[in-house]
Amino acid sequence: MLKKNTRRHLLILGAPRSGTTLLAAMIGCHDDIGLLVESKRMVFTEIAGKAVVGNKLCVPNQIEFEANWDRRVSRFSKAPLEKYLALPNFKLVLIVRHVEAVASSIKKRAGKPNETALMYWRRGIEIMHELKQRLAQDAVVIAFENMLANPERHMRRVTDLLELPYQEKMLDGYKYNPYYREFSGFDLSRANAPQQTRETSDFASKHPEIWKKYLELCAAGESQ
Amino acid sequence: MIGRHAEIALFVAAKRMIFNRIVSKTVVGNTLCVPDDIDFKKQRRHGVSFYSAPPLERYLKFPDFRAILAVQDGNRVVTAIVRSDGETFEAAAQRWCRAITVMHELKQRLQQNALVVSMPRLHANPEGVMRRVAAFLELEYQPKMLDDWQDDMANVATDFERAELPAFDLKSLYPEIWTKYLDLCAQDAGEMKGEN
Repeated sequence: MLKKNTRRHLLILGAPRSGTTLLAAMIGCHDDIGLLVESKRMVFTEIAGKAVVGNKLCVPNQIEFEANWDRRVSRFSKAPLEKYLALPNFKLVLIVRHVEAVASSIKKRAGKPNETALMYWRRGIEIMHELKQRLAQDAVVIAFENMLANPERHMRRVTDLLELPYQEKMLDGYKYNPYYREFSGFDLSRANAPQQTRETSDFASKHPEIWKKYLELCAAGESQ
Repeated sequence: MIGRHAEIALFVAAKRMIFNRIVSKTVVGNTLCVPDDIDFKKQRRHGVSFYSAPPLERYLKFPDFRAILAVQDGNRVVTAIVRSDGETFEAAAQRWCRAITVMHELKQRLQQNALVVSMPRLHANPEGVMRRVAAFLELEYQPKMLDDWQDDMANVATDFERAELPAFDLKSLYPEIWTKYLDLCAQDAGEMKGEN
């Protein structure tokens, strides 16, 4: 058990279009948490008066193990994960979503080609799998589809990880999603997606090693 | 203290206007020292090739913008700066004078959207001041704003304890600025009185 005044540093990670922003909005509703979305700089450590401070980033397009130097703009284009891992009392929440839902959403919403979408998802799973192995009990995995089906259970897992009391107001987080303020609740039709397609995905047969890692992450999320 | 409120998330001395990336809070903001961290216009720092935080004018453009202005006796401030930071009296006095000038102008421009908090009053009546702050931000007061407030004030108190005997008299050296300081204090006292 951490001391009352011991500050926790939180990072929420997921591939793009995996529900990262919805998850961050829900967690950010907690009274004792101050959370940024997609800040490339680690300025969240400067938030005052909260037991937990953190950031939400998409992996791999916003964060990687090492920072990438972008020559075109003469600055780092991605935050380095290793700097986060060096923070004291570091906690990680990983969100995974089925490859077909992610790829379809990236194509539709971001207009990126299928290859790019699959590359994002693949690299995202690789990084998250490694992080889960390295951090063990300091990392929680949430499957997006399961979160929609039973949000309270997963918010309780997050608050347990952060050693905070659960607060029901976290379930109202969808109202604060900065990108989708028109949401009126959880779309439960998306909660069934993985069961329908998990076994039939083409991706699974083409990339069995990555698929195995994805399933291991899903299993970690269900067993914790 | 303010940042402990459940509906508020507050940065301390963030040089960038990153607070609009905070999610799921009713009030988001930043704490900056004036004029060191911020002024009406962007400041180039003593010839060094970087700039201070975005200027106040950019903050003033935010919708539903509120400012909380913390004021303290200039003699104590200057004494503390000279003793703690090793600055000259002139440099320290200029910082305090500029701070009062900027805050006085802000109060005049923002009127009801600016709240003056006198630091001695905060020490004397933290709950009363936090209730005013919560009301100013249109939020319910929460007792957790006072959690560990003694710890929050410890560093400030230490500086001012060392500065117990002000060696300067800014009132006679800078009478116009002193008048503005008293004006700000009077507004704080008036608002406090009006609520009691």
